[in-house]
Amino acid sequence: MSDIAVCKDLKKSYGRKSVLKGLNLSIESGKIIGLLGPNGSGKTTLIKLMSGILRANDGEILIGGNPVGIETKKIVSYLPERPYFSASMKIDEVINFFDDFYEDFEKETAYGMLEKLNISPAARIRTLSKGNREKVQLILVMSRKAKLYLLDEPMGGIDPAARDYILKTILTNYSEDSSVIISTHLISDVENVLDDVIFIKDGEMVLHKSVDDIRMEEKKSVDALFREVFAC
Amino acid sequence: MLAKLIKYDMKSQSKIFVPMYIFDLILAVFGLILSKISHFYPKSYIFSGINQLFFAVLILGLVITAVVTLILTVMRYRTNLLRDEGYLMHTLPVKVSQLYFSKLISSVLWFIIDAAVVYIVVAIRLLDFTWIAKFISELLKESGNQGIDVTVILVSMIFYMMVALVVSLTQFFAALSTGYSLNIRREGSVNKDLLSIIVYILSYILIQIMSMAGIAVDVFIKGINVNKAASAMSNTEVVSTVTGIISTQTVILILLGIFFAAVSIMRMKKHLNLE
Repeated sequence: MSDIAVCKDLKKSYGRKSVLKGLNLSIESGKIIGLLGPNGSGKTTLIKLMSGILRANDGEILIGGNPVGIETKKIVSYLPERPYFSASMKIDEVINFFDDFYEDFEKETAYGMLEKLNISPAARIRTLSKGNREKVQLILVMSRKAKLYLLDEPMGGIDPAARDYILKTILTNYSEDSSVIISTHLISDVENVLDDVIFIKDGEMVLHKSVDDIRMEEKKSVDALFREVFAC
Repeated sequence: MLAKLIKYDMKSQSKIFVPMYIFDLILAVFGLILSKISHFYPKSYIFSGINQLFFAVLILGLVITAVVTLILTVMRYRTNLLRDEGYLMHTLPVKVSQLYFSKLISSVLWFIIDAAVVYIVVAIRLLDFTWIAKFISELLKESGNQGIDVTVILVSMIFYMMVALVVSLTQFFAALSTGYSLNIRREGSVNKDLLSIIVYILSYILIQIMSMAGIAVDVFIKGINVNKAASAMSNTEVVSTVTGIISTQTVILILLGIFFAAVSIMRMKKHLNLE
């Protein structure tokens, strides 16, 4: 399988605080990868760099063979951990917005998922509960036929049933020649859907293995290994 | 893509602007009705008072419309590009410059629509859609009687005001883009709006310095005599002095506008840090 994304000697600092210290990593196509690490380890920074929200101080990111820019934004679908739609917009206005700007966006998929959740497309974003807002954001992101999905804490602060729905949505809507990177603290929830995991600590990659290899070699779950590696 | 961005900016802001314009037009219609009714009671102080009060309310409404337009267009830039909505906008497959110019162009369009609404409101109130032509004609006639042809001055002043409007928007945008992208090290969070205000004040000082430099250019290089009284000048001298100063200030503003736009785009391209 070819690599959809490659990071070479990636460095990012905020002032004097170095967050990524020469990170090297490759993401294969067709994989669901868990990006795991404690708070402040650099997970969100890495995702923001790959999405184009941030600029690296040094190093290179190639996605689909291109440096981060307009061409990569066409094939990368990004879900930030924060609400990012205008609260005054209606859901169908957001859908039209996505349809207008992204060639790979599928309106029917988005409307279909909304219907299954009983969320009216005529509803305004501000009238939705936190959980429904997260679901709507995820629906919009996963309704694109992107090559790389970057999901930053897609299940933060929502109930277990909604988390299950989100995982199901991710699994059923991404195509098998795409990759999904999920940054999360809820390891036990996502472990069963992950192909690979990447552990990041203090801005450096400390592990990049398949979940199967971890279970076979370490004889433990990813969650247990995480607790061991990042023990306080 | 730029056209699409402008479309969504205009659509989003129309939810506030359109009702505001409708309100202004309703005020104009009410004002007209009151003015017509008061004609039937020419000696009534009450009707005369209400008529004048309503006219004042109408003017206040138009001033508020202009102020609200400025506030909302600047706030739109801040909210849509520098806060949470920036996560959506900066991941669209568009250039940063397109994001910037969509905000600038849509803001200018709203001011143009504002001007059109002012024209229509006054026209309704006076029941005369040729009021502006009459006003200009009167102005030219009056100044002609004074021996001064103000046509060139009027045109250059209108152009200067339009440039000043656009540059003031670029100044606000540059202050916000810089304030929101500065990486100030200190304990706790830094208020980015406060930083933006500080940058705005600094940019205002820069404009004043450049403006004075422009006057210096006029006096020492172009040889304009700013100390000579207008009464001591010929018509040609008055027109050339005034238009000379206005044109220098206009050029300075254009250069500053380009500088502010470049600062905004560069800060967003290289130093954006949405939190």
